[in-house]
Amino acid sequence: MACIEARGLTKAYGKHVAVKGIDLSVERGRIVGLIGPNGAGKTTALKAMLGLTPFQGELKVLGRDPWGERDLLMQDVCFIADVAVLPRWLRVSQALDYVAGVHPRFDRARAERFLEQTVIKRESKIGALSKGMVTQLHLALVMAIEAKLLVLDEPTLGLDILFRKQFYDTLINDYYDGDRTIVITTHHAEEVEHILTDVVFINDGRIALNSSMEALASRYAEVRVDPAQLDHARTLKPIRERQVFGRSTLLFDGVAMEVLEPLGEVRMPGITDLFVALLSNTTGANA
Amino acid sequence: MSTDVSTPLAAASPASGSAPSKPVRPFYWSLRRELWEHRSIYLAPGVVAALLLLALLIAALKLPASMASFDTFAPQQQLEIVSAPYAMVALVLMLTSMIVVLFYCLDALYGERRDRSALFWKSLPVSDWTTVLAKLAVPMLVVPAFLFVLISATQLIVLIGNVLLWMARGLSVSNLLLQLPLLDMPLGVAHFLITLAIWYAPIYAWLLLVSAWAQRSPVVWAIVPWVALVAFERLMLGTSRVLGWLRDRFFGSFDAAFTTRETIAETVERLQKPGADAANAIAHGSDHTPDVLRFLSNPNVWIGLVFAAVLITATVWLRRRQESQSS
Repeated sequence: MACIEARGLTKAYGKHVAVKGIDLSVERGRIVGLIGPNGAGKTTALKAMLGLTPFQGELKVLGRDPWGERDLLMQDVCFIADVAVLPRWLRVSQALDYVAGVHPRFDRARAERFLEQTVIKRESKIGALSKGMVTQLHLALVMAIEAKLLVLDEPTLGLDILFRKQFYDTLINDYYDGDRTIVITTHHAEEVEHILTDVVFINDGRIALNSSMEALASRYAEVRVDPAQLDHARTLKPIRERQVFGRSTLLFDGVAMEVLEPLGEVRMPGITDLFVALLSNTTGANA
Repeated sequence: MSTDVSTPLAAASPASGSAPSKPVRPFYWSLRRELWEHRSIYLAPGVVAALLLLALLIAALKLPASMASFDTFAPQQQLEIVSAPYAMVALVLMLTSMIVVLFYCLDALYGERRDRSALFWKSLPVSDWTTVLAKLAVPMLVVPAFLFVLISATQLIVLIGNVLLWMARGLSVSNLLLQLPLLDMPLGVAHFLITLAIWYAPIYAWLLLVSAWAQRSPVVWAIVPWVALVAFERLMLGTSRVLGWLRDRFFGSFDAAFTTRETIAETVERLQKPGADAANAIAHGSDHTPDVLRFLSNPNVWIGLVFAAVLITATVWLRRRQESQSS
């Protein structure tokens, strides 16, 4: 059974259709990055998966209908929507008490161990913590929950680079066990691309690309072309050409390695570059 | 921790994982959470109770000389004089709580949307029904129970002070204890608190609905529709049924729950006669007797409860959809 199974998932706000019929299947144990510009429908799609909004089409998360069974679904799903959502008046100890009191799969001792590695005091109010500390607290709560699916919607928004790095390191080292599924949306695609197993590009409410990272690596290649080879390289129909440090860098789709290697330095393109290349080709819009 | 055994049943159900589940009490913890956030629910009446006791202490020190002949007063007059502080304690504490609770209801669902913490609460396995009912339980259950304890405790302290004062003044303590309705007072307070909570249920439910719905200024949204309705009715139909209905809902619970020797209106009339004083008039209320049957046979009680149930259902509906607006 797939962890997330969507078919024709559609969501309209009045006349504005934010999600236009998404088909998506996420298997257990994957780490999926949902990448797309603002207003592409990422957050709306996530809200539908978390039971926060009604939708049209078929959608099952862990075999459940999210809209009809949000409270049951949340026993197996965790999400961090934005760092600002922990209530400011709540004390750290109260947050632990509350989650322990309502969540059947919360391991309080584990959360306490994570908090001991931070400077967060139990009696502090959340409003008195820095933004980075609030994220650490939220992560400590989430990591102590034996969940099957973790959804992170811009989890590191507004954090400095050290906290962002630490956030993903902790997530991969202490949380991800190969069996859990993680779905991440972020503007900092370059920060997560090394941990992703799959990537889904969303643009204008539709899926523009849905691929595993391995498939991506074998299909797309970026070449810093020797100036002498440039004219020949261009005949191989690159999907994008840009200048990096005065040298043309061409992005190829489905061209064999043996053909590309003589042209110059070949490497795996970054997600952001790929996104820009694919989306400016298909829609003309820039990301 | 060796409960990690997969059974065929567990494997068949999509929700059950391998992790051991511990018992949870979502309703209880949702209630606790309300009291963590809204400490004024118990702090405000507590502070007022302390101030009342202080005021009564000062009043006792300045007791008029005429009180020395208390034992020779007529029994009815004795009752009115001695029970006045007890009635005042109950009424002032209830009034304080009522104001705090009305503001609580208006903020209960508005606050969590304003600071976006609703997203955190919704990330936990607690249903919208549980959340909304826990919020409704604050004015309906928690506050009446707390007020009963607070009022009884305050009255008990007043009673102890009263006995000490009587002993110091050489008045008959046994006569005092005989005159005070020691059993009827807590019964009357409990009856009043319970019937008031039921009578006010549609008011609480309306405020919760506004709190779940208003994008801003819930206070205004709570009041303006009713002002508009009253004005509309007056202008278009020349009647004031809505106003009468509102007045009955806000002030009619006492008359609905107690058999009275005189109605509130008559008490007010008596109060306005020369020579009457407020303490006596209020004390007079103590011989209003609790009447459960009178309350239960009042159709307005049941109409109010149905109205409240509809409003609460709408509130849950709104809370469920609150995240589906913004993108």
